[in-house]
Amino acid sequence: MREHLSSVRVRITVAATLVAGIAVLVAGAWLVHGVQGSLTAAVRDADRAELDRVANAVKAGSSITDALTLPPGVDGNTAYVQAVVDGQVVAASPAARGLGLLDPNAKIAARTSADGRPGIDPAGGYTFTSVDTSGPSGEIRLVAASPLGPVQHSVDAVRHGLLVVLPLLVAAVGGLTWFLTGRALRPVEGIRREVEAVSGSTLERRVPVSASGDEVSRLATTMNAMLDRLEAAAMRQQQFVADASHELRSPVASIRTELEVAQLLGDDDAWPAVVERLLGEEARLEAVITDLLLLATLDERAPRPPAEELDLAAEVRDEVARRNATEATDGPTITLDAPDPVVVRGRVIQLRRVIVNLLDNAVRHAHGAVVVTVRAVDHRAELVVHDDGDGIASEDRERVFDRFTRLDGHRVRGPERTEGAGLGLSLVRSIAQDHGGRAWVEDAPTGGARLVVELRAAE
Amino acid sequence: MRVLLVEDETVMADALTRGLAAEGIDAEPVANGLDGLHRAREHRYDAIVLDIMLPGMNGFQVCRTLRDEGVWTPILMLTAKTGEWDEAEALDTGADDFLSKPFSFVVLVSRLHALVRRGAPPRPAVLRVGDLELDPATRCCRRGEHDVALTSREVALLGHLMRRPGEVVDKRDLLEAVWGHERGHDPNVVEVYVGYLRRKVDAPYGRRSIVTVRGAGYQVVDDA
Repeated sequence: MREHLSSVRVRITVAATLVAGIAVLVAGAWLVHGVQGSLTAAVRDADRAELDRVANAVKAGSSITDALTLPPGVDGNTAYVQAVVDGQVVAASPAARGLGLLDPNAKIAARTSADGRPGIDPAGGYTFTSVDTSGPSGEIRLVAASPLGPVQHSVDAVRHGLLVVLPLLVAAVGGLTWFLTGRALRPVEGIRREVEAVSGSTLERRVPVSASGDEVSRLATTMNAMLDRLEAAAMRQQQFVADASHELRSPVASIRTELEVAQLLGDDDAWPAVVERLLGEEARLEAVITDLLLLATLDERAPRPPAEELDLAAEVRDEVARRNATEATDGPTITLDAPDPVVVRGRVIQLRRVIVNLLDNAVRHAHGAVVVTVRAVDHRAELVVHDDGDGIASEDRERVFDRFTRLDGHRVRGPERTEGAGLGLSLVRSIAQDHGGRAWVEDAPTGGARLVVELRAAE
Repeated sequence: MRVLLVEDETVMADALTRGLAAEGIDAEPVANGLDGLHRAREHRYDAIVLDIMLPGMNGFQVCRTLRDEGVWTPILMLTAKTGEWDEAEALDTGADDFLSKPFSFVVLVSRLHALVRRGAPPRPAVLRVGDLELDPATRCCRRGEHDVALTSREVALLGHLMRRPGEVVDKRDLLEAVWGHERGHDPNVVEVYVGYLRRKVDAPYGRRSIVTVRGAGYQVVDDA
């Protein structure tokens, strides 16, 4: 992993150095070329001025030879100048005397003068300029050639300077990139090390967040938020498994002990009672398993049975009638307020489950009365179950929808089953949400608990 | 034999009561933690079977409260939850044994007999000598109101001394008990560690609770 980190660093550094190198090379070449061009142009301009001076002198009446000869005490151009008539050199400046014909087109000339002075180097180390003018003896072409040696010297000086400075510049860019990427990536390594240490059992670890507020520190913040969510999810999952295990093992344990004790006692007359108790525990186990499977189905977004239209008011009426017919006489009175049909689209079995669970919950907590209301509000169907019990404290109003939540206090478990496994309201909410609705606990001004399920009404 | 059965599952409680009666054990069922606590305080039982998930007050709290109050009746804890944490926590809070549900009735009876055989001498989960407190399970050590941080070796050494308050413990005994499985330790290492302990639990508070008995060993005393 360390190598990977380095390789990002290496790649960035190499790329930056490469780009800087190319840029510097181009800039250097352009600079050298520019310097050479402008210095050459300056030499040519000076030659041109010299030729103009000679031409003007000839026009003014001087002889060419005089014109080509500088007045004493005047620093002249170093140029070789010739006056050419019909391809013949008729006069030359002192420096150019004895040289062959300077030809600006061919850029050639005799190599050496007659008296052995250095002539014109054919390698192009000269600049040629010409001016046509007319003198007393007709058309005269004035040709000047200047050595580019001094120009080349200057250009070479610049080039040598660049050869020293530019590599240093590139090296500096590389070094700086290496340093900065190293510094920028160091928190990444810290984050990586922490995340590596985070496993299922150590989700409480968090990655270090630097105070810089840059991308890396934002990444760290985001990662910590993700770890928060993971930890919360893992804790919920653990809690769920522990609770589910408890709810499944408890009846199994009761069944086993009941059977072992019955076998130990060997009392044949006791068997009917044993069977009754076992059936009670079995029913509990079955209910928990059914609820857990239903919850799992709802969670999984598995394919659903098709939805159909049903009258929620009629379903509630049937359930209330069934209860009032069978419920023990000391149970609470259930009053129904559902004058009009309220048609919703949904899965009948699941929606009946919502009604049953809400009524179970209300009957369990009511002191003497439960009021059930079904009505259509706008495009929504609203089912409200209100009991006159102790109500639900505001801090518990979300918690009651959590799985396996039983508000403590009345947890007596057994054949009379006054308490469920704590999955009832959780299922109510899951089913409501699965139908595109909601379930919540509302403030009841008259006391007691007021549970509301809202579903979309059918079109 | 008389057993207090704290269990909120009525079928389980009922079956256990009948089964234990057949084994000659008189079980008194109670359905919630608070009732269980009251009964355990008020009456003498040979053992307590204590469920962890209870209404009112859970099994851990009942167990810890009883031990804090000096009730040393053997406790066997029951739980239907999975995971070793419940088991570890049960034993750390002062329970003597643990069974996970579902369990074998025969095993439950045997374990109850074994617990009762061992009797009920004080066996605190947290050791106390004067205002010096040590919980070997959590490695928490306190001098009065102050927390003292100890290494695991120091905890082992101090625990060994504090389990016999006032008794002189031989240096070789300590070496055996704390460094026993490692060979080749100089007996002087005990002296060195006693020195560390004194610097942590005695010197800062101007106390002398760890006493050297020349030629015999060390003892922990309540010097307040």
